[in-house]
Amino acid sequence: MKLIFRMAWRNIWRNRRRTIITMLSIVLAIVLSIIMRSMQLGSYGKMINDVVGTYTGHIQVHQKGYWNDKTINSTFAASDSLIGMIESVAGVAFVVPRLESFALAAGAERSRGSFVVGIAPEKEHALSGLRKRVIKGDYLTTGDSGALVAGGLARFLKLGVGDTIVLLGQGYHGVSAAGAFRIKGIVHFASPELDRSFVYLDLATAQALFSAEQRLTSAVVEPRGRAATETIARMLRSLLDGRTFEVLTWREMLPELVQQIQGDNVGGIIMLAILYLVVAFGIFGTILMMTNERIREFGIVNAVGFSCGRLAVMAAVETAMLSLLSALAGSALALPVVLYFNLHPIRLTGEAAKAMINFGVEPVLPFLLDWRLFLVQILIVIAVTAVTMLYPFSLLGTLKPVSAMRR
Amino acid sequence: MTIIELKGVTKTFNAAAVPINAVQGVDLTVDEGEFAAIVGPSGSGKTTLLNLIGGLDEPTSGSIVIGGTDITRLRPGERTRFRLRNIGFVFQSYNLIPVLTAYENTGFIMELQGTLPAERDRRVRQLLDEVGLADRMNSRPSRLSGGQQQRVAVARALAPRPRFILADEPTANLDSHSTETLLDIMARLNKEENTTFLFATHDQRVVKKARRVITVEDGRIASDQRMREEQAAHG
Repeated sequence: MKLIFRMAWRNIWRNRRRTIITMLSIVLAIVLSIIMRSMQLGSYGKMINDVVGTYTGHIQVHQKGYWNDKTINSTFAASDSLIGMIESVAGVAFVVPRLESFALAAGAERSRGSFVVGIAPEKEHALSGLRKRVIKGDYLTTGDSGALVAGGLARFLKLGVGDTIVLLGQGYHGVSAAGAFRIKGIVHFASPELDRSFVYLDLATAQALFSAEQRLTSAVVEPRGRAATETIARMLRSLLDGRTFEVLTWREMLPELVQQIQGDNVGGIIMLAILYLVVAFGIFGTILMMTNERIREFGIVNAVGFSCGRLAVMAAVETAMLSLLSALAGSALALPVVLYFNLHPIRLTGEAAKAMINFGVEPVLPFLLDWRLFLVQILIVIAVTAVTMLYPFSLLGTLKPVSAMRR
Repeated sequence: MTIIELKGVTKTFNAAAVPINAVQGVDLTVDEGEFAAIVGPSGSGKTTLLNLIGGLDEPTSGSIVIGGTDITRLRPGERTRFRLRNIGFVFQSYNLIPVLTAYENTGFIMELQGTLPAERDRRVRQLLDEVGLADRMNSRPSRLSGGQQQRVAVARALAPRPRFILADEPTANLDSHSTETLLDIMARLNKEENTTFLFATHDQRVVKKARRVITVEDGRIASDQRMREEQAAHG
């Protein structure tokens, strides 16, 4: 094997210029693909974090049918044993209880439809960082009788901290829900849709408003790591009675986000495929030349006892060295770029920024820094190389030393 | 002791659908320690015969037994292993591996055979010294003259102590001085190591050194002459 490696290494450098050009093409493809994928996957991660982390959470447990028909009547009794059972599932970090409904919000002069959310303030902050969104006044405390109002809604209603907001709606089982709450704080959302509609109350206060004591519309389940989402959801589905409860992941709750990511991702993958196709032809060209110009030599070494199997291994080692070295060099070159933009994300401006804000996403493009991203590109190069190796393999498989030496 | 035995060996090529009998019903035996030349005009079939004996080509019919093994019954991979263990080759165009030095080329077959490095090193140095290239062992083929390359090729063929060496026109590309040097080396190694040499050649300088001359014409053995040692030595 040592002999094969020695010969393979020297064979690579028999034509330095050709080898360097081939390596540069692979290096360039690797650098471009890593940077492109890092930006794409980083932005998807940011979108998911922003949208999922702002409100939805990774998993929600509802009364069956709630997600498709969000009414206060589709609530479930939030017993301690139920919450405890959910929290006991392996990989669950914490459970955030919510009671959500719609109500007409009114100030002294104006009114508008609003989305009222009863929350456990500390758990909600742990999930979505809500306290950090307070731009005026204070955050809610457990048992608080005040309200947090989204900035856009407060501006529309011409209300500020210390003013009273009136909420008027329908409570559990048709009971009318009406209440006046002192505005304790104003919160800001990047998404205009959220910013013009959200009102937060303490959970018990909201339950009293909607006459839904001890009831929840959703229990948001946060996994310790995003990767565990599907596993936890599966376990919850097996634990909870499917006739009473539904367990939805963020992918099921936000299909439009998933579709947007998938659509964009497919575009990126097509770009990568084109890039690697070009590289594959480059590698194949080199392999073709390296093989054809050495058929006589293959015949000679086979004549003296170097088996076709060993020749195939040598050809594979040559190509593997060429592509692996290039892939590693490309990864090494891409790493500082990815690292820099991971720490200093690109901040978008103009229309692109507005579009992202409207979608509830901060207009920045952070790059993903993940070793798997590099590994995947290296594996793609190896796979491309493996395909191009079929040519020398097929040729060596039928090698006849006499006819090869006549070349 | 017979080490090569051919019985009724025929090789037919189908060139443009016209069968050409390159070798026709050849019966031949070669004993250990022989220094024999196969001669004949171009196209007479001597290289084809040599290729068949070396297991580089398969006969259309007949059997080729080398040291008790009928190589016509071996599969291609087995034939390659057989060549590795039993036969040394010297080709007309030297055919050294360009990326290996003279030292590495000489030890190449031994390394394939898995010979221990110390033993290989000793043998390679000894042979390169014998062929007068001890000072060029680190040179790659491109830095050696034609004569020097052919001497390395001979050293490579001899290094693993094969049963016999097949040399196809080994002097065709060499000048007179290089030819004389090379033939002297091979004759000496034939004597000292009792290595069997079988040449395919039409170089009279080689023929004069041979102790047996097999003449091939139209794919058949036309004559088979054995010379006395003194005759061969003096041409």
